[in-house]
Amino acid sequence: MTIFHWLLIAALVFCFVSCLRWFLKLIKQPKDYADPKGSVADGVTFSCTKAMLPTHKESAYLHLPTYIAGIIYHIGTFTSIILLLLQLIFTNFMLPYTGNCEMGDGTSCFIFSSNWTFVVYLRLFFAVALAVSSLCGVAILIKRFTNKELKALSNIDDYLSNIFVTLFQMFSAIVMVAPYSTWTQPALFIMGTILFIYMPLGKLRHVIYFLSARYQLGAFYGKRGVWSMKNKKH
Amino acid sequence: MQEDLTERKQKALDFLNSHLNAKLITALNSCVHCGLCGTSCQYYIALKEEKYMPAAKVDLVAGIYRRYHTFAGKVFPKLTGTHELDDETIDKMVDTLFGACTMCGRCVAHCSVGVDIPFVVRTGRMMLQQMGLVPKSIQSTVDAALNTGNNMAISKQDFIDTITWLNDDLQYEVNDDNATIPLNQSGVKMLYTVNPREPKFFPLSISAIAKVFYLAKESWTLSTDYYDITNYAYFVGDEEGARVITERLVNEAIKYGADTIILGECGHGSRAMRWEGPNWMKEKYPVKTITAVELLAQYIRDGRIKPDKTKITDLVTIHDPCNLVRNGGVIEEQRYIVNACCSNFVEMNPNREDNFCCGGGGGQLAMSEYNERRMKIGKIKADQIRATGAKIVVTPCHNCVDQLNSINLEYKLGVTIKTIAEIVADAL
Amino acid sequence: MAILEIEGKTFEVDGDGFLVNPKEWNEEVAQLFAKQDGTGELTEKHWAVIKNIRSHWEKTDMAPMVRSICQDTGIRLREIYTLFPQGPARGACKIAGLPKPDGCV
Repeated sequence: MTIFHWLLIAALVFCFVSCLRWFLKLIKQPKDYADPKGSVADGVTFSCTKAMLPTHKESAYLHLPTYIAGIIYHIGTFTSIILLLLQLIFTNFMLPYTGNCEMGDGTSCFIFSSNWTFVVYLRLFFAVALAVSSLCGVAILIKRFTNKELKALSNIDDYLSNIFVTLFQMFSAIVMVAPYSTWTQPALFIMGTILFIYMPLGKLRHVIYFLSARYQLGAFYGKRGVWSMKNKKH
Repeated sequence: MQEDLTERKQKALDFLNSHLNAKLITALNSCVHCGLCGTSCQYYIALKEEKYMPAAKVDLVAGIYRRYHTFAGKVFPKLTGTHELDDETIDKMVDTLFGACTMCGRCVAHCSVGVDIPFVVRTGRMMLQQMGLVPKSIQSTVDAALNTGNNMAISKQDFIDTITWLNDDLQYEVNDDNATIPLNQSGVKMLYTVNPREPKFFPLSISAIAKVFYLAKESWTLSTDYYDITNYAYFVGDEEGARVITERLVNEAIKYGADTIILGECGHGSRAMRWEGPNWMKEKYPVKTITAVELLAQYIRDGRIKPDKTKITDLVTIHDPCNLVRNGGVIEEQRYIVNACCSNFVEMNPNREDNFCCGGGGGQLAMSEYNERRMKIGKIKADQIRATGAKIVVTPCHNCVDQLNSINLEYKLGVTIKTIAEIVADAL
Repeated sequence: MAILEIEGKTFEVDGDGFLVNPKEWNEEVAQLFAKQDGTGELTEKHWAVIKNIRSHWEKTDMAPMVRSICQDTGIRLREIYTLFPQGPARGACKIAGLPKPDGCV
């Protein structure tokens, strides 16, 4: 465990505690005395599935390139976070394994590490995928400061959040292609630390609020009988 | 004066603070400024300015929230683009939250996150209401309702005279000298409600519904004290006023022993009574509510009235009122009725819960301050109607009827606008 | 507030085109307003309605019920809507120089 490991762990704890605090505030729903016309559960199911598809959402079908870039960008972010956590837990994550793979011998390993060729391809796959997703982030960033309306709507946090997340994905990609370099993983850990400390300050909090928003949306239209999974008209 | 304003601003901030529940916290925190909502909003589509984007409207209120309720907003107000509740912000709020949103909610389902945008706009309106900054024209409508019992300040005698006068028409129509429109009758099943513009200027829709009720042998009454289904207090963000208006109708139903309130063809009024009212009163109603549209559909299904669809052969289309359809779940009933009453029906596109607002919702029709914008955004609806080629537009909302009449003349559509009750009465 | 110009004459009107100062009204103003909003030339029946509305407003400060217009002038209800394509409120009341009535009109 290096100092970078500890910094990252501290940032993760800080971020987790912040998220938990907001999450707890979102659990208690205001009481609604109106009689339902439809089902809340059905509406929420619809809201989290079909309603997000380009067939149903104008923000998707009228803006397909941005929508697709956004989806890829978000997948890239979550992939990077998972890879980061695995690297934090397993010292030899995605490295060729030569010794004894038992926990407690000072090293830990990952199940793929006995098959080196496979691991190389896997690393290459992640590197390319994350390069693509971070380019999507760059594209969205460029759109943000070139599109007149979007620029007017944006604040410093909108730019910073994008830059931090995009850099985080890029560093994640670099670690995948240069596993033996001494600086790549520490750089990724520092980037991760910055990201997780910054996250609770600005818009990145939407990782929690997005879920709550989809719930509220589905609950509203579900209860009022507007959205339901059974309705063939959708 | 300065001190007074500071005090009023504090009142607005306290209001925001005391209303921060899970729903509002979610709505104020989830916009990511993706900027994809503009193309779903009538104002942005028609006027193409960034201040009309739903996200920009949300950000006015969310920016105030961030300034006073988040760590970053308190310490680094510039970072997250927060707004001080100052004169500049307030002016912007009045201009776009009152003057550039019909609260139709079309943007909500199309938002990439699903932010309840009209809910945020209404919260902003409530804050302005706390500061006494509601546009004069709409405030006087609220005052009239609260002070006189109806939003047009119609006297009780005038109301009685009009209804009595309509009796002649009804008797002639149904060929029965004993047919009357019941006033203040106890022991009936249903209490009917109207929009005051009906007795005042457009009583044909009352004749129409009376004819339908006569033929369906319904047990119903109008009350001469409280009959106004509209609730403009809801639009201006006056929760206490909205509660008073709701409670009056509920008490009136109880007074006459009715177990159901029929919500007349008024979109926002139906929504306020059906969905919001119980929450203002903090209890479930002791009576049921049903919209006139649902009731008429039920009559036809049960065979209580038998419309003859050969009587109306002109091409008919439906305009879906936002408050009744997208925000109220009354979606297929009006289609069932129109298909039973008319031989030629065509949908406008988009329709149902994705329909565009008439352009007069959210109190716009009552705010002459923003008339020019209202007519401009109405063009979208005008184009939609023209594309159907219909001769008759049916809509179960008097507010929509009036706005559609305006755009009918402005954009020379040459169509006739009718309520559901009128089209049913025509087919009987 | 806006300024409405008809045939070289200017009027201060609200956003909906109703006169801001109803005292400015006279028969010539009525004719100009009618021409401008598509009602066209004012016939005897139009005048009966307009004068009825105007005198009611001068007495009570309110627009009359459409019922009382019909009963006082003897014009049938449906004919009122034909005479004034903008309707009794946005049409007849505006031509009669009243301020905009409250409510859904």
